[in-house]
Amino acid sequence: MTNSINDLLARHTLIFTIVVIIFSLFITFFSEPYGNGLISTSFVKTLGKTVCLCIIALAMDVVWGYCGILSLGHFAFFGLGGYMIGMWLMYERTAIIVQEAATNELLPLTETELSNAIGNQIFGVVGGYDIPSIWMFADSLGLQLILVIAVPGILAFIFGWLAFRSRVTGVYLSILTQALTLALSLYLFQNDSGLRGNNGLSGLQNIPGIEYLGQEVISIGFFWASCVFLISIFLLFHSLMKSKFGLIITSIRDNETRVRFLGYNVEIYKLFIFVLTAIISSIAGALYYPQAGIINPAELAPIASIYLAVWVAIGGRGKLYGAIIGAAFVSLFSSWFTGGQAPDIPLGIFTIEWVNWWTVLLGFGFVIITIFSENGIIGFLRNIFVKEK
Amino acid sequence: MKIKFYIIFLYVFFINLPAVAHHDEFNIFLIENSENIIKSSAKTVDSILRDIQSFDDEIVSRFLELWKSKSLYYIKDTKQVVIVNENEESLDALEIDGLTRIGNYSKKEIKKIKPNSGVRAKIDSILVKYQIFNSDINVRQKSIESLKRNIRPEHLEVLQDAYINESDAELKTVIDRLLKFAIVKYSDSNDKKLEIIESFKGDTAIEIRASLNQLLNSSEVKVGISLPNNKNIARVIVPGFTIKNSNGTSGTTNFFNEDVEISINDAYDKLYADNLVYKKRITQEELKKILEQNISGDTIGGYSISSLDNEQSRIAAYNKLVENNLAPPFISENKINEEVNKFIFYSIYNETSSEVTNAALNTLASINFRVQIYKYIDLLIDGLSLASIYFLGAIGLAITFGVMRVINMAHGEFIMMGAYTGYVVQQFISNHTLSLLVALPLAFIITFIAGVIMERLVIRHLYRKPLDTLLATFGISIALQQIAKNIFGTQARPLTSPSWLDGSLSLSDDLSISYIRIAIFILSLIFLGLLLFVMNRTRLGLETRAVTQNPVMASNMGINPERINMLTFGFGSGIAGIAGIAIGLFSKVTSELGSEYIVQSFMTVVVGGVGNIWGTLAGASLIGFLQKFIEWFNPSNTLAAQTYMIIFIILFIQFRPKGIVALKGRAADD
Amino acid sequence: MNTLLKVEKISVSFDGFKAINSLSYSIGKNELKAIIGPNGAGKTTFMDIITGQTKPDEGKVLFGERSVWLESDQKYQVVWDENLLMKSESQIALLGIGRKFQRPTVFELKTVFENLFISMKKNRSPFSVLFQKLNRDEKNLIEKILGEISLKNEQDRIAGELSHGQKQWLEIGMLLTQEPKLLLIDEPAAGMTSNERRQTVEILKKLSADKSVIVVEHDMEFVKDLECEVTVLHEGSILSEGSIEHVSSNNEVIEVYLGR
Repeated sequence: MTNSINDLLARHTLIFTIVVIIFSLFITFFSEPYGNGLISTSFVKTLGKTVCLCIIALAMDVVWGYCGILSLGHFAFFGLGGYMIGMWLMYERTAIIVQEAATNELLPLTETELSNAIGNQIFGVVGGYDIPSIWMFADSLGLQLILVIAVPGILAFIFGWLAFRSRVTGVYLSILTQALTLALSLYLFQNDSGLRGNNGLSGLQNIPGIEYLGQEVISIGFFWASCVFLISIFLLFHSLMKSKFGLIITSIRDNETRVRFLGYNVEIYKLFIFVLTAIISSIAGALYYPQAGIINPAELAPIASIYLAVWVAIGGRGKLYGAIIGAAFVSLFSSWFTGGQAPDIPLGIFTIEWVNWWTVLLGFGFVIITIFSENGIIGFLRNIFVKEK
Repeated sequence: MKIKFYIIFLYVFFINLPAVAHHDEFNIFLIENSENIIKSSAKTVDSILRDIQSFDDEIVSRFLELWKSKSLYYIKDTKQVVIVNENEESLDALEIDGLTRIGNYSKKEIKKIKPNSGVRAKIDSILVKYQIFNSDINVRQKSIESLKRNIRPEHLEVLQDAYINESDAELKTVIDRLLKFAIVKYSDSNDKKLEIIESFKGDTAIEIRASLNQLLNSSEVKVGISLPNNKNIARVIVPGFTIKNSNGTSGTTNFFNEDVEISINDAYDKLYADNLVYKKRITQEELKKILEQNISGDTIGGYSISSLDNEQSRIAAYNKLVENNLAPPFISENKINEEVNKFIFYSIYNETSSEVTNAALNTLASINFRVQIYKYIDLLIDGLSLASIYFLGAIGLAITFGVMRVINMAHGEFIMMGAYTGYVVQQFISNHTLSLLVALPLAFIITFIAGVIMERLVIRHLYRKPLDTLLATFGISIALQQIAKNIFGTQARPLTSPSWLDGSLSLSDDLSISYIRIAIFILSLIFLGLLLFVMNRTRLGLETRAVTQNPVMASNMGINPERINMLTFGFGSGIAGIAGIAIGLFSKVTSELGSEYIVQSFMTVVVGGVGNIWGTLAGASLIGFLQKFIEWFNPSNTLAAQTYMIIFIILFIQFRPKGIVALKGRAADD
Repeated sequence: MNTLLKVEKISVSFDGFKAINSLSYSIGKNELKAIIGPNGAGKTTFMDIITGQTKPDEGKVLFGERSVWLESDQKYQVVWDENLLMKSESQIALLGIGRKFQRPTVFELKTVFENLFISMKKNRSPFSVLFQKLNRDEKNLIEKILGEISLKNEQDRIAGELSHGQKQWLEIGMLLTQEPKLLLIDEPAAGMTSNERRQTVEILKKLSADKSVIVVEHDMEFVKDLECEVTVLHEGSILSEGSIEHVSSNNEVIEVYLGR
C-alpha cells in the first residue's frame, strides 16, 4: 500500500520533469535564434520569469502549505537575490563601459579615477559618486553569487531564530514577516541606502561578457537555466517532503505541540525550512531580475509577498504542483488582462475594461476559492474527479 | 496699471487730504526746485529736504513718499512735477494733491523721476520722522513695520524720540523692541548693548535670535603665523577638522557628519593666495593635464604611458618633467600638511568688543536652552498626534482581532471608504462643518454595513482558520481598492476641513499646534471613552466580552455568538469608517489611503496586546512616540525612521510576544 | 526506593489566581499513581509544569534520582540528574517524559503507522532525520506496539478516521514508541465505552511494569480500577493522599470533590 503511493509519487516527478523539458524544447524550437521565431524574445522572457515565479511559489508552498508558516516576506528574499546579482551586473557592465570610454583618454585611468567614474555612472542619480561599502564585492561574480545565498540566508536565520524562539506563531508571525518586508522595502527606498533608492538597479538584462550573444540567445539561456532550476527544486522538495523530515514538517503544521512533546525541537525544524526556502527564493530572484532588466524597492513591497501567498492558495497548497499551477496561471493571466490584450466586455451602458477590473475579479475570485475550495484549483479538480468515480 | 493701483492705494491711505492754502505755496516750491528734484543727487537733495520741512506735514510726507517710491513724473516741456493716471494710450497728469488735473499727455511727453538709492535713503530718513510721529496710528504702525525691514543707524535717534512720544501701548512695545535691535546693531555704547543683550535672556522670539546671531557674524577664514591679540577672535580653525558653528565658534565634526569649514588643500590654496607660501599646489587634474601635454611618443618623462595607471607613477613621471623644467614643482601631500601646520587659521567677529560677543553668546545659549525645551515639547506633541492617528486606525482592528481573532486585511479599505464618504458628502453639502456632521455618522453606517456584509458572506465561513481569513480579506482588500480606483480615479481627492480647524494654536515662535491635530487628539479621546463605555457598560459589551473569554459558555447562557460576531465586526468596521474621515482631513484621500496605515495598525494592535483597549492605546503611544523620537534623531530621513521603528517592534515582540498589556493564563491560549 | 520525579513546593499564579499553591509530589521508578480532583483543581497546570509548558513562579522540579558514593565523606549522596525548570518541552520529552493530552492529540492526517514512526525513539535533529529509514527491528517494535494498543489492523488507516477510544490508544502507543521513563496521562478514559475502559486499565497496568505512570482523572470509578495510590488535588494543593479507600473516606474530599 505504502509502496504503491510512493510509486505514484515517483511517477509524478518523472511526469513533471518530462513535461518541463518538452515545454522548454518546444519554446526553444519556436524561438527567434533557434527556431522559426514564432515566439518572440520578449515572450520567452515572460515565460522565463514565470518559471522563476513558479520556483518561489514552490518555496512558499513548502514554508506555508507544508510547514504552516504563512510568511508574508518571501518575496523580499526574492528581491534581495535580485539586488545581489544586480549589483554585480550593474557594476561590471559600468566598469566595462568606463574602461572602453577610457581608451580615448591619453593616460590610463588610475584606480581612484576608475572607481570615481563607475561610482558617478551608477550613483549619479542619487547625487553621489562614492561607491558604498556594501558594493565591495560587486566586482566579483563569485562573491556576489555567494551573497545571493548568504544575505537572505542570514537575514532569514536571524529573523526566524528570534521569531520562532519566542514562539510567535500563526497570524502574529505573518504580521511580523510583513513588517520585516515593509522595513526592508522602506530602507531600500532611501537614497542613501547605497542601492540607488527608488531608482533601483537597471540595465540588468545586459550580461557583461556575453553581451555579443544578443538578447535572443541570452533569453533562451536564462529560460533554460530557470527550467533546470525549477526541476531540481521540485525534485529536492519532493524527496524532502517524502522523507521522515517531511513527515515531521507536516506534523508541525498540524499539531506543533504534539511534535514538541515527542521531543523534537520544533524551532530548529521551522528555522531550517524558513532559511532553506528563503535561499531558494533568493536564487529564483537572481534568475528572474536579469530577465526583467530592472529591480526597484517597489518589487519588495509587502503586497508582492501577499500575492505570492494568493498564487499558492489559488493553485492549491500542500501540493507542489499546485503551487506551480497557481503561480503560472495567475501571473500569466494577470499580464494578459492588465496588458490590455483581453477583450473588453460591453454591457450596454457600461463596458468592463479588464485593465481596470481584473484586480477586482482576482480579489473576489480568490475569496471564493478560499471559502469553497481549501485546496485551490487542484482541490477543486480533484473533487470533480473523485465524484465522477 | 500697477501704478494706478498704487495711487489709489495712496488716496485711501491719506484719507484726510491737506488744506488747499498750503498747497499753492508748495507748488511754488516745487517749481523753484524742479531741476533738483528731477535730477537729484545725494549732494543737492540735502537742501531740498531741509527747506521742504517748513511746509505742512501731511503734504510733505505725501510728497516724499511719492518721490521715494518712484511715483513722481515730470512734463518734459514745462519741467512741472506731477503724478499721473495711466490710460490706454495717454497719461493724465495731476498735481501732487491728486485732485487738480493738468492735462492729457502722450507717453513721450512725460517722464518718470527716478531718484538713485543714495537719494532715496536720504528721503527716507526724513520721511520716517513724518510718519513715525504722525497723528494717525495706522501711519505710525506702517512706518514702524517698514523700519523693521530696513533699519539704519540714523534711525536710532528717531526711534528713541518715537518711543518717548508713542501713546499707544501696543505700538510702544513694538517700538521698544525695534529700538533694542537698533541699539544692539548700531549703538556706540557697549554698556547699552550689554544691558539689552542681557535683557534678551529667555525670550525665544526668532527675531531676537536673528539679531544676536547677526551680532555674532564672523569673518571669512583668516590666516597668520600667530593669533592677532588685538582682535575679537571668534574661532581657531583646524583645516580638515573643525566645523563652523552658527554662533561663530568652531566645533568638531559629529555624528551627522557636517562638512569641515576648510579642507587642508583649500587651506594651502589660501596660504598661496595670501602669499604665505610661494609654490602653487598642483591638483590631480592639473597634473594629469600637464602630463598629457608632454606626451612624446608613447612615453612621458621617460615613463611609458601604459605604466601611468596609478598615482605614484604619475607623480614620478611628473617629477621627471619638473627636473627638465617642463612643469612647475609638485607639492606632496606631506609638504602641504607641513606648510598648513606652520600657520594658524582663525576667524574674527565683525563686532570688535569681546565683551559684547561673549554676552551675546551667553544670552544665545540661554535662549537656545529654552528653545531646546520647546523642541522637546513639540516632539511630545508630534508623538501624541501620531499616536492618536495610529490609535484611530488600529482601534477598530483591535476590536475585530481582539474579540474574534480575525485578521481583517481589508480594514484599511474600510478606513478608505470612510474617507471617500466624507469626500462625496462634501460634493453635495458645501458647508464644511455641516458636511462633516453628516459624513461622520454616514461613514459609520456605510462601513458598518460593509463590515456586516463581509462577516456574513466571507468571514463566517472561515472561523478557526485565521490564516485563510487573512488571505480572503486580503482578496477583498485588493478588490475594494481597485473598485475605488475605478470610481474615483488615481488622483488624490481633497477632504477639506472646516475653516475653524485651519490655523494653529501658537504658543511661541517654535511651538504651535495645529487645530486639526488637537481635533484628532480629542476625537481619539472620545473614541477611547466611547469604546470603554460600550465594552464595559452596555449589554453588547458584556456579551462581547463573554464571547471573547469563553464562546461555549457564552452560547450556553443564551448569547448568540453569531449575532455578537456580526455586530462586533460591524462595529469595528464602522469605527474604521470614522477614523477614515479623521485621517482624510489631514492627508489626501486616495485609494491607497488604507494600505498605508494597515501595517502600522497591525503593529499597534500586536505591540499593545490583543483584546484590550488599553493595550491598543499603549501600542499606539509606543509606536507614535517612538517613530517621532527616531525621526528627531535623523530628521531628514523619515523612511529610515520607519525602518528602525519596525525593527524595534520586531525585537520588542521577541521579549513580549503577547504585547504590552498581556492577558495571562489559559484565557490567553488560543 | 529510587525516586524518578520530585516536585518541591511549586506555585504558579495567573493574573492573581493561584492555580498551584506550594505543591510537593514525587513518584518512584515503575510506580503507578493517580491524581484526581474536580475541574480547576490544577491538574492540567501541574502537568504543564512538569512537561515544561508552564514555568512555575517558585519551587523545584527534579528528575532522575541517583545515589553517588562520595569518597571524601565515605557515604552515599543523592544527586538529581536534571532540573526540569531549565529545560524546554522537547528537551524534557527527550529525557523520557511522555505526555498524553486530555483530548486525544494524534496527527489526524497521517496514517496510524506514520504516527508511530514519527514518535520512534531516534535522533531527532533535522539533519539526521533527513536520511532516517526504518530497519527491521524498528519495524518489529512498531508491529509489537500496534498489537499492544489493539490497532494492528488499522495501521494504514488515516488517524483522523479512528474512533475516539482508538485515538486515545494510538496516543498511548506513540508514547510507547518514544520509550519514556515516565508517562503523564491526562484523562485517558474520557469518552470511552465501558469495554474500552477496561482495556485501557489493562494497558496502563501493563505499562507500569517497566515505567512510571501518573494518571490524571476525575472519574473515581476508573481510578478505583487502577488499584494504585491516589492523590486528591484541590485548589492547587494536596488535600489527601493514600489508597482509594483511604481517600474516599476522607470527609473533606467528599465535601469538595463530590460536592455534597
